Amino acid sequence: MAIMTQNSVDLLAPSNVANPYPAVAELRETDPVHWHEQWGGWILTRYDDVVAALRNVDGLKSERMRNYAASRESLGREVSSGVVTREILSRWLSFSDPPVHTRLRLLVNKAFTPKTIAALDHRIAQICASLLDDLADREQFDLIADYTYLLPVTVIAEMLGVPASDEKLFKQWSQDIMLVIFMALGASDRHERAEAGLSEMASYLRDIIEMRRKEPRDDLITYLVRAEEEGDRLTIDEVVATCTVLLFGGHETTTNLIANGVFALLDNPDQLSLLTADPGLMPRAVEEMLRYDGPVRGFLRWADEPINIRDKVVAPGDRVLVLVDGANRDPAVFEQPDRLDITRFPNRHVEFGHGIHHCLGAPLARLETPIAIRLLFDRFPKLHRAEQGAGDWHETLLSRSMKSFPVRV
Amino acid sequence: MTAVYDGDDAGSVLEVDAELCVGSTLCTQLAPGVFALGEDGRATTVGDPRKWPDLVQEAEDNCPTAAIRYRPQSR
Repeated sequence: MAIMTQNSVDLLAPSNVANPYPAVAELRETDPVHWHEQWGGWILTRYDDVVAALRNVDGLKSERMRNYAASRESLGREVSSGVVTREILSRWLSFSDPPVHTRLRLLVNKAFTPKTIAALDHRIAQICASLLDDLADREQFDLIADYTYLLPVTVIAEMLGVPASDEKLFKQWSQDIMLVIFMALGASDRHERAEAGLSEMASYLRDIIEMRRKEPRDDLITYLVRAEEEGDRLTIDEVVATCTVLLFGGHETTTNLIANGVFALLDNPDQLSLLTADPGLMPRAVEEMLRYDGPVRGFLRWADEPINIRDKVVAPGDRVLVLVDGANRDPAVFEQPDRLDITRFPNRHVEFGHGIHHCLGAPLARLETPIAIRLLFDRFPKLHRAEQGAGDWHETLLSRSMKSFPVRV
Repeated sequence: MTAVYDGDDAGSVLEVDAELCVGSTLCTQLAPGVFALGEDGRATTVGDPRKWPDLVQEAEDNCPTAAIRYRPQSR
């Protein structure tokens, strides 16, 4: 049930955290270009507007730190993010605009293409099997802490060239960083925690960067270090920032894609049966998981010029929440959008975004997810939820992620 | 599918699958003589790939959704 107060939806009301889709549907139907007074920005929920916004690279910018500070000041509100946070996040691919973004994206892109990633399939299956072996004696476990977190973080750690055994460190830092990235508006200490998390992660990576200068290896950090040494391709700060975005982005979202996907399948046993009976449906099933309850709810943009969207005018400096979980359930595009249909085709969801910032890790996520889910249900065909209810969701604006997901075998 | 330059003597085929294309602009950056973004925000072919075969190969290798299919010789 949406809670509307003075024309503003309470985006983080418990009911909207448990299930955001009804409130999103109400916005999409009644006010598709919605000015949210309390949050201080526009919210787009229709598919056409979402795609147009993501394509509008000239009018809507991704550079988040300078724009965030400017928009806070123009609204007369405090600028709360720390120095390290601004230094690092301002160099993230996802928060950069051309030409900086173009240069960074071209540099790292080939490491993540479908062709390159395909070579990881055996290793991914090996990691899954090993994680499932560790759960052999358990009657109950946390699908996230014990499986869907450990798989992607191990994969990205190996790609980057950081010890996967440090995964507990990465987890702590990611939990802190995500409070700012995914906008946990209710966490009053989120800026301090993100500052600490990013500082420690950066310091850790700087140590490894120095080690790779002396002793290069066949990993992504070495590749980036070499590019920096070649001069003019990227700065050392960009190496550090790029490593942090790959480390954070390389697992946080995939963890939740797999977990949310399993949650949706367990909630829709007819669909799970379909998938079990016909494993060939898995690619379509994964696309449907991305659409139906994907890990990313939306993206932030800042208007660089006046933009007409329907009957509204977005002013320069305004921030815009491009809500993909509104677009992904737009009845103008998807039949029975609130239904999980693993056979759905075509499925032009925008969960990975669209345009120049289309998710770098999409091919990797599309490889890890089918393997992780197939092997999980092969090993535990009777897997079911340990608790009933709507699920234990983080209170964030931009992500759809559970704190824990207890399951029984 | 968008097909171009197929069936000629050299037998070169270049296709961009409009269903898969997400307008990442990686191809238009790497091979601007060959690819451009159409009105619908998706890549389309605007030039002869035989002039820049290495760049077209780079574009195919870099496409995040494997939407480009390039065969310098179809047989």
